[in-house]
Amino acid sequence: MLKQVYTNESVLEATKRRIEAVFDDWENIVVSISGGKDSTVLAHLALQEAHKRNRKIGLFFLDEEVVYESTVNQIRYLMNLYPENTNKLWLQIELHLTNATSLTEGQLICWERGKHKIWMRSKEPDSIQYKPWDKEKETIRDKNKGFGFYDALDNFQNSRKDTCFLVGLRATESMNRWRAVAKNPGHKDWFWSTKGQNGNISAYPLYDWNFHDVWKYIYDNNLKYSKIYDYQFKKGLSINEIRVSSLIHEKSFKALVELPEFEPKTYDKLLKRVGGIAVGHLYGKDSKMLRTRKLPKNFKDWREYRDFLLSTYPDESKKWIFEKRFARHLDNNYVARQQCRQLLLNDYENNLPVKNDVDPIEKIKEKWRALL
Amino acid sequence: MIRIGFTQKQKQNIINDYLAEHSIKKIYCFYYKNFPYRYKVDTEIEYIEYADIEMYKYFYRLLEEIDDSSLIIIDELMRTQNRSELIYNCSHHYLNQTPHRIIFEYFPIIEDKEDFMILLNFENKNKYHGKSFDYVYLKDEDVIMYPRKLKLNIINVETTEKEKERYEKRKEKLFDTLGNKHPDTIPRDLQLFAGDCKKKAIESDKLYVARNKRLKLDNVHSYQEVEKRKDYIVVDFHYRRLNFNDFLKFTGITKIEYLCTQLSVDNVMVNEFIKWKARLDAIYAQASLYK
Repeated sequence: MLKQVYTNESVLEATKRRIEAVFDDWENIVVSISGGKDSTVLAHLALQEAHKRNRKIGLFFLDEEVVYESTVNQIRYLMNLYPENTNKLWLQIELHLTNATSLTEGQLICWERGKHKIWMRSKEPDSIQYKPWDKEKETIRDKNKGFGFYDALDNFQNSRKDTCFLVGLRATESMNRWRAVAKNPGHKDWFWSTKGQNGNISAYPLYDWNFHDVWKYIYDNNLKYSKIYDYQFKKGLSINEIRVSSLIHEKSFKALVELPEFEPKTYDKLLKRVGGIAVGHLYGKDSKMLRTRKLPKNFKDWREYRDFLLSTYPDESKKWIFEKRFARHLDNNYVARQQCRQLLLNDYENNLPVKNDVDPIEKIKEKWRALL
Repeated sequence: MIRIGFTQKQKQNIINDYLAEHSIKKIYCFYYKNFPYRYKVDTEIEYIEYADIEMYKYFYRLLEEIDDSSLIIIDELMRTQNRSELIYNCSHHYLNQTPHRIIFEYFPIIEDKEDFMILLNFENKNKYHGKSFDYVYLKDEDVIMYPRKLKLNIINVETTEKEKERYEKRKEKLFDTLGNKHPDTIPRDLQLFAGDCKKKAIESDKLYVARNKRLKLDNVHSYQEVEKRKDYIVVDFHYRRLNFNDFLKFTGITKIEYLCTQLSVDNVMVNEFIKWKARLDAIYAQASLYK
């Protein structure tokens, strides 16, 4: 198990030291920002160092179009904090996004050409609106899905050379993810970095921060932060639920439940922009619907429910993906519940993989049969 | 300090003594809603309910307020066996900010000795983080236990052949029609059946406790209705250990009288209780070695 070990140095001092080292060793520096609290802190720290050295760094935001208005405001704020030290890299290009809330409209093409009238908002006047890389060298992870969010990230990074990308990843958010990151240092002995292509690296100077370190920094430096955190705080959400995320993919659709309350105008625009939004709003936290925790009462078991969902799955072009995948799985209720979740969330990309295991309930049943 | 099994009056005295010896400006008392004890102190005291501990509206304010002049009382807060529970984690943040802490709990465990690590984590999270229980820790920390020695007295209830037959039939039916229900519901259901068979043994001049009001007798209370300091005879054990512990804590009962049929489910229930009692007694015995 990974453990946090405390030293005499504060995380802030250590991070400042790491960022100084980045500026010493790298000519080209780009901070990836999302509008969340972590990247806000990271961008501020990096910009301060850039200001001190009279240098310019890139602030990179990959705009998915369907985001909170508060996120957009936060990005504008960060991009204008130290304009003389900032290269704006606000990318607004066509992307295929997964829409977990609709079975008939499983994807949203954000910033789709010809549909500018229904875009959530106009593009920024100074954003990058065309792919800034050689089209012939463009890579796509999954051709069935089309050019997606991670493809844009990959291609953007690969289009640059000898660049250090700063990312606000924190180990306490996901220890397993951190373990994967920390395996091979990307530069010198910086175990808080990973190697990329073309001499690029990604570095994670905030890796050892806890969430309260982040909030303390924001408070101490009087920084603005996304209003969504305030709304969630007032709503009484617990610490692990408070986050600013995308609005429609399979791991974040729950945000739609509170969206009309937090940002009614964003919700209104989203309703017009893409199908399934009302479903996400009504059933995003419903245990019988999108959470798939309880079996609807008109089905005998999860297997029957899965068969029903599969037989009525509306998109014939994707149905075979589920059929082929499920054919490799065990046929029990434990697996079938997870398959139902994939079908309900239209997860043909297998982003929520099924744990193909024997039903643990069987063992408990055997125990009681022996005792009773 | 960790104090186990103390009465309300004893807890009040411990707090009074502590306040007399230390300069405390404010007390923060974390409690559970079913046991809302209030203490008489001259120092300012704020009571925060278990569920509120993780709430943002408390979290940041308390982190700002709590300092080395604050006393935190963790008053019977062991409500889940999950050591990583967010509410526990938030409590650790508060406790980290002051050396003054008193941890009260009625029983040292919920189910087994590993639960005691929850209390040790309250006392010193950094020291015990990720560690398994070891009896040596009872010596290392300021732990005093007042053992609640429990005694189980079985009152046998005659079971007819017809009842045994019906029990078997019901059992088979439950397994056959389990469907999507959790298998743990089978013993719970059979326990209710066994409880029904005990109705004939209920005497009108005694008080009983059962899982619900199905027996429709005035002297049979449900676990939600039990009254303080009354002697109850148990018709059905509560199926959640924590709730049964709450019942023992609330009534102060140490001699448990249990109506027991010859049906196998009662055998299981009694065995489970005896095993739990053995685990409890083991920790009491080890604790006494060091005091």
